Amino acid sequence: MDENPGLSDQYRKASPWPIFIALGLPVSEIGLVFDIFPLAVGGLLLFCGCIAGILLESNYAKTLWGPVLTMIAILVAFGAALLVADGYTEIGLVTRAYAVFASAIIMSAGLVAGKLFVPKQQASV
Amino acid sequence: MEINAQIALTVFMGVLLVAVAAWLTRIEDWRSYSSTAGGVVSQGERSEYIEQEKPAGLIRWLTTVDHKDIGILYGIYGLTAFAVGGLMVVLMRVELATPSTTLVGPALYNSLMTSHGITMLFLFGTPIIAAFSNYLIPLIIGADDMAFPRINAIAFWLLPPSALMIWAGFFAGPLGLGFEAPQTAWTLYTPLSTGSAGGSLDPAGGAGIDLMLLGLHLSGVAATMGAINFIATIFTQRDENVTWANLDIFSWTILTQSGLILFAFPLLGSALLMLLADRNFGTSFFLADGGNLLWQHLFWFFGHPEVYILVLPMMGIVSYVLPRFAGRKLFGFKFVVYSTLAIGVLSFGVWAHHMFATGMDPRLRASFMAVSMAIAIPSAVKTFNWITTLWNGRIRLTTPMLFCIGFVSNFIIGGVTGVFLASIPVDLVLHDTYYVVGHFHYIVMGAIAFAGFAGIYYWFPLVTGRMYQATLGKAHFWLSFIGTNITFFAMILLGYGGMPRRYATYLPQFTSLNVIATVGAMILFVGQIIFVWNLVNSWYAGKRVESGDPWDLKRDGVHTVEWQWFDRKIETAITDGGEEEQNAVTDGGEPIDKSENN
Amino acid sequence: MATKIFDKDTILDLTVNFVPLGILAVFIGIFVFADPWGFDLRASLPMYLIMFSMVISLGILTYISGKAIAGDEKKAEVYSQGQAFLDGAEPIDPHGHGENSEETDEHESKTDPENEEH
Repeated sequence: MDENPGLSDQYRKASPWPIFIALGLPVSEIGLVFDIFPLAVGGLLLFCGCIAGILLESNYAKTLWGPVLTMIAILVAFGAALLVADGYTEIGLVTRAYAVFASAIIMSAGLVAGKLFVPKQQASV
Repeated sequence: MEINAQIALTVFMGVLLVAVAAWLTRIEDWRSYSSTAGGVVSQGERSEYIEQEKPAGLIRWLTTVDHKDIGILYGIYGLTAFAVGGLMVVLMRVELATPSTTLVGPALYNSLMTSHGITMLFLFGTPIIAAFSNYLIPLIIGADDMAFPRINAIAFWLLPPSALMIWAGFFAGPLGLGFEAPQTAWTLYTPLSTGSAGGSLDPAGGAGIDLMLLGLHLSGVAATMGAINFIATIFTQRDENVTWANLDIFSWTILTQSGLILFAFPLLGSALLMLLADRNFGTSFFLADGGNLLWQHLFWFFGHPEVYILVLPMMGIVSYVLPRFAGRKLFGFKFVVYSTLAIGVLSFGVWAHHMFATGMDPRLRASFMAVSMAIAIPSAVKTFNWITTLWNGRIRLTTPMLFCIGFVSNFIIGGVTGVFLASIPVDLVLHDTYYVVGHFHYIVMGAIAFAGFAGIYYWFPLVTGRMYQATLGKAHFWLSFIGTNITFFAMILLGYGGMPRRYATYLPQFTSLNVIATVGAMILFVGQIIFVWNLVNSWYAGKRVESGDPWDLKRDGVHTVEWQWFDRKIETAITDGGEEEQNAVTDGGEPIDKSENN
Repeated sequence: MATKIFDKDTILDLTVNFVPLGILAVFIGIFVFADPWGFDLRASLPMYLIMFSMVISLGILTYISGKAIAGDEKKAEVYSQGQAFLDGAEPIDPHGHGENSEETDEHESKTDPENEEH
C-alpha cells in the first residue's frame, strides 16, 4: 500500500471506518433535525472524525491534520449559516448552531491534543 | 426534553465516542501487516483472486470492503427487508378478507401500507439488486474489486440505520416516544405529509414522518454512492478483453440503472429535504399555491425512473440467466442493449402519467401519454427477444429457469395492463383503483421479485459453494407463480369493478374477489416460508458443489467467467488441503470439528 | 470515420430504437396538425419540449452507444456475453444475432444438474 499507492490491487480487504461514517451521518441528522444537542455533537464528531480517518487510510491525505482542519472549517461555516438562517425563520436554530460549533471546538481540542501528545511516527503514515 | 434525559444521552454519546476511538486505535494496528499479501496481479491472470487478509468472525463482516462480502451483506439485508415487508402485507391481506375492520384498525392499516411500499421498493428492491451487482459485476467484467471499495462499504452501512428510521414509528408507540408510524403512503403526498399543525403534532404520524424522510434520504444517499461506484467500475476497471461490444447484459443494465439513479435520487433527496424543512423549519415550498402539484411533479420525476431502476437490472439478470438454460445465446443481444438504453432515457419523460387525474393542461398530459406509449416498445422488444431465445432451445426447467419464464409471463401481463394505463382516457377511469395496484404488483412481485429469485437460485452455488434443495425450489416457484397470479389478477378485476386503493375497508360487493386475493397472498406466503427455509438450511447443510460448472453450462457453450472464477476457487481450496471456510472458522476461535461435517 | 462505423449491420441493430422515435414523431405530427386544444405558449411549449427532448436525447444516446459498441466490434474480437476472458471461448460473429451454428447440434437430454445434487 505504501510503496504503490496508485495500485488498487493491493488495498486491504477490510476497513474499520465505513460503518462509523454510516452511523455518524444518521445520528447527527437526527440530532440536528430534532434539536437534540448531545446526539448532534456526538454524531458530527463521529461523522467528521471518521471521514478524516478514512481519507488518511486510503492515502487521499498524507496526515490527519489537513482533513481535520477542513472538517472544522466546514463545521464553523455550517454553524454560522445556521445562525444567519435563524434570523429568517420562526424556528429557533440557535441551539443547533451551538451544537455544530461545539463539535468544531471539540475537534479543534482533539487536534491540539494530537499535535502535542501523539508521537510523530504514529501520527503520520 | 428533560434535563435527566439530556444528561443520560450526553453520557451515552461520550462513552460511545470514547469506545469507538479506543477500538479504532486498536484496529489501526492492521496497518502494520497491510501490504504483505499478494503481489501485483498481471492483466492476464486477473480472475485469479488472491484472498487478502481479513479479520475473523463478526469483525470481518463489520469492516469488510470486499465486493463479494458486501454483496452477501446486501443480499441478507434485502431478504430481511423482504420478509418484514411481506409480513406487513400478510397482515393487511388478512384484514382485507372482510369488508369491515376486524384485525387491524384503519390507522395501523395505513401505517402498514406506507411501510410495506417503502420497504419493498427502497429496502428490498434496490439492495437486492446491489447484492447481485456487487458480487458479480467485478467478477464478470474482470475487475479486482469495485472502483471505490470503501465508498461501497459506506453505502451499504447507511442502509441499516435507514431501515430503522423508516420503521421507527412502529417501535415508538410501544416505547412511549410520542409519535406514530407514518400514514402517508409511500408517495408522501402533500398536504397530508406536511402536517397542518407543525411537525410533531400532525395526525399522519408526527415525528415518525420526519424520521422516515431522513431514512429515505439516507437510502437515497446510499443508492447514489453505489451508482457512482458502478459507473466508475464499469468504465475504468474492465478487463482488456471486455470491450463495449461484449460487455454482458447485466453490466449494461446496471450501468443504465446507475445513470438513472444518478439523475433521479438526488432529486428525491432534495424534495425530501424540502418537505422536511416545511415540516420543521418554517419554510413553505409545498404550502404555497401549487405546492401540492409541485410535490407530485418532483416526486414522480424521481418515482417513475425508480420503477426502471428496479426493473432494468432484473431484466438484465433474466437476459443473462435465461439463455444458459435455453442452451443458446441471447437472441438479438444488441437489441436488448439498445432497448435498455432507450428505456433509460425515455423513463425521464413519462413521470406525469401518474398525475393524469390532477387536472393538468390536456396538452401537457398528451405529451406524457406519447412518451409513455413510446417506452412500451423497448420493453416489448426485450420480451420478444426472451421468447425467441427460448424458441428451439434445449430448455432445462431448473428452478432459476422456471423463475425466468415466470418473469416473462408476469411481465407481459404487468406490461400490457400498464400500456392501457398510459392512455389518458383509460387512466381516468381506472385511476386510484385496484387495477393500478394489480398492474404494478405484477411488475414488482411478478417480475422484479421473480428475477431476484432466479438470480438467487442460479448463483446460490457460486456464493455458498452448496446446492439448494431442488424440490423445495420448485415448490417455491409454483406457489409463488400461482399465488402471484391469483392475488394480482383478482386485484385487476377489482379495479374494473371500481374498488378504490388504499382503504382498510370496502363495500360488501367486493368481498368475494378480496377473499380470493387473500387466499392468493396466503399461497405466496407459504411459498416464501419454503424459500427462507430452503435458503437457510441449504446454506448450512446443503450438498457441497464439487464441480466448477454445477449447471453443466459447458456442454452448450454458454459457460461464463464467474463460474470459471468459482472453478479456480474450488481448485485452490482443494490444493490448499482444506476448505477455506474451515480456516475462517478456526480463525474465529471455534473448534474445527464443530464445523462443516454434516 | 463515422460512415465506417455505422455500416448496414449497425444501422440494423439500431432500428430497435428508431421505433420509439417513430412513435414520438407520429404523436408530434398528430398534435401539430390536428391541434385538438389550440396553441397556448405556457402549455404547448412544455408539451413539445418534453417530446423533443426525449427524441433528441434518445437519438444522442443511441448514436454514442452505437458508436462505442460498433467501434469496439471492429477493433477487437467479439465474444458472447460473459465469455470475454473465459478460457477456450471462441469469438462470435457480432452480427449473427446470437445464433451459433453449432448449438443446434444434437444433445441428448441428461438429468438436471439440480437433481443430481440431491
